[in-house]
Amino acid sequence: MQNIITTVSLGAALAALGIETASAVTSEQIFPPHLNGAETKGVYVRKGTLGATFANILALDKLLASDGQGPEIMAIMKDQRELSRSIQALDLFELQPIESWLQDRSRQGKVLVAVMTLKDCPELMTDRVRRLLEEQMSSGHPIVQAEMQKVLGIS
Amino acid sequence: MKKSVLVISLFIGASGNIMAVTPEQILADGKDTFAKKGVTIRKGSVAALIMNVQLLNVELKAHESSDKVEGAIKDLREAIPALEAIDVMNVFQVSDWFESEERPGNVMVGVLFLQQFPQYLTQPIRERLRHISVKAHSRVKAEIATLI
Repeated sequence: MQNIITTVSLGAALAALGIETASAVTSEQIFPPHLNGAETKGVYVRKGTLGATFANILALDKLLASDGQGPEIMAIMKDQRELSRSIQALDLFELQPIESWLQDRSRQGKVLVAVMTLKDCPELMTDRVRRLLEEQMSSGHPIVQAEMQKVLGIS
Repeated sequence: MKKSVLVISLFIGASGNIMAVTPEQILADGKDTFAKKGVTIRKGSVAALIMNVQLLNVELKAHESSDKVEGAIKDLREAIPALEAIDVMNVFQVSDWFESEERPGNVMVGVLFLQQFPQYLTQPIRERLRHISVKAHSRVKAEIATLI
């Protein structure tokens, strides 16, 4: 029951973006008190999803820039992969286009999260995104390269 | 105090390893807020940011100004300390917000951020803002003028 109420609230907030009577959106409209998540675009999104994603991006940036341990990186990737559909449903790539994420090559954690999301959300794939992946596929961290190859169907 | 300790412990495990972070670790069931860098962050803060940016990207192209534009700017201004604390401004660099003049909502967030964190206002960003300001919506122009 709680989730149904939240879904209605989030739906209203999303609808607010496209109609003349739209108003500003507050975090209270998205997640009313004591509710743990909401459904948007057919995906159940838990609170804390974007905060966790940002923490994981920064952790991956750090690990991939150094000789980070494979198991640590894999553990973060496993948890982050489960959030892919949610961050796409929340329009994270409306804040900055996924092409810009892929071009931020000094930030391999940010690139990796974008590539993992592409794998689970093929609707984000465009000709330009595909070209960027092809250009970058043979440079960068080996783990990122491997994920790019998976998205492109090479491995 | 307890909440601050919890959040710090999320990122570095007992062995010193960098750990994965899950939404449940950020906000346990039943919790509406958590604290980081001395700031209380409410659930839904980043999702609200995204929606308000989208709203401004549409509205600041189509209309002179409106109550909903002012409401979104007010909400964004109030949210800046929480967004900074949750690392939005580390995932996206300051200059990223000014990447496209076609996204006045993004520009607005960057300007509102710099008003509260002027130490990140560099000379190249100042020049970029002057350039953006020439053709910007009057509301964006006003906030840039306040900043620089």
